[in-house]
Amino acid sequence: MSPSPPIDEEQLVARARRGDDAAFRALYDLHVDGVFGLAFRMVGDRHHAEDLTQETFVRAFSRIASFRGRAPFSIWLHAVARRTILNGLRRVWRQRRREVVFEAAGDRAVPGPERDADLQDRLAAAVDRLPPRARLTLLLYDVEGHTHDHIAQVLGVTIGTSKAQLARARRLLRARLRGALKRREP
Amino acid sequence: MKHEDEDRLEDALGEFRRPPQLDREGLWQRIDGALQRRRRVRRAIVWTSAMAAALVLGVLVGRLGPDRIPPRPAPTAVSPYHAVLASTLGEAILVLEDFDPSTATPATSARARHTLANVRLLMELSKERDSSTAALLADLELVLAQAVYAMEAPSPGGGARVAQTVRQRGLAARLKGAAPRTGPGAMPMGI
Repeated sequence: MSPSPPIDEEQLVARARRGDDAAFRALYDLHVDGVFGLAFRMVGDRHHAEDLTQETFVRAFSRIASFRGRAPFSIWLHAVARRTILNGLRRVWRQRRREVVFEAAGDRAVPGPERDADLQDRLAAAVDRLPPRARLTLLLYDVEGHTHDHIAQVLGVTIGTSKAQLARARRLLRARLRGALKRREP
Repeated sequence: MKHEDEDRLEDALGEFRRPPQLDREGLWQRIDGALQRRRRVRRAIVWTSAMAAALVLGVLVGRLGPDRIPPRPAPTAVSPYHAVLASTLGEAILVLEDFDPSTATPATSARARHTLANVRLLMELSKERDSSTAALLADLELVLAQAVYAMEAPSPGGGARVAQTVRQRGLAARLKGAAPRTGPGAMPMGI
């Protein structure tokens, strides 16, 4: 099978700015997995992550005229996702303060082949307790493999701040997972 | 030992919360629908603004012109924003009236989710316009989110929680005051 031709994202964005619906759909197809993956890892609930993904694309596509093209579209979209996800988390905190408990929706993370359930559960609890920006930095760097340059642009901070946030997140995680990280004897 | 811990943390992060399979087509339909609604509202706002500007210009020309005709009072028009707001509040009333997690179907849940999406869009638009409507929409968003969760993941306390929030926030009276009556059965909720 011959490889499909590379998609020119700049052209897609230009077409989307002119209101071309097919270009919106193509941009969605290119980026939806990344946005949904990040949202899901941040909130841990499928329905909530889908809502945040929807909100991210609606906001981004409604404001695509404000995208100047100084950075790649993916970074701009990630920044929109970052704002949307952090706002969504704030909404959840507000709701929890009002003593609302979101029931588990049954669509939890898919277990990996070598998933250590106990460690993963403790890791999820520890990650969820991280400060939002430190959590986002950790997920973008350690889980999704983005560079500090990318993360700094998404978060609107310097590379040094991104590195500091990552170090802080790892330090907090290590402290909270102390003991759980010790490998059990077979 | 420390390196071992680091490796284990790295491995665990590599497996962290693998996203479930996404219904890409379904999500696109939702996004496309929300974009279309947003475009319609924006077009309507632009159109109404143009009409209002033309009306003001007409009045000014009339007042400054040589043949001054006594001005007539301008007709009061409902702006598209208020039209969409009224329709969404009406939808929300119907969703809450029909709310019963024990008989919820995918259709009622989808309707509630659709209304919730509209409320979220309106929240953004209302922020700069009217703080009391923004507060009403924020409370409505909370109760609709609870209703959606109660319908999609039924639990013993789900219905009671929605009813409690409606009571605590005084939503029945506030909705009645803000939305046009939808019929004799409008409010209190059917929960």
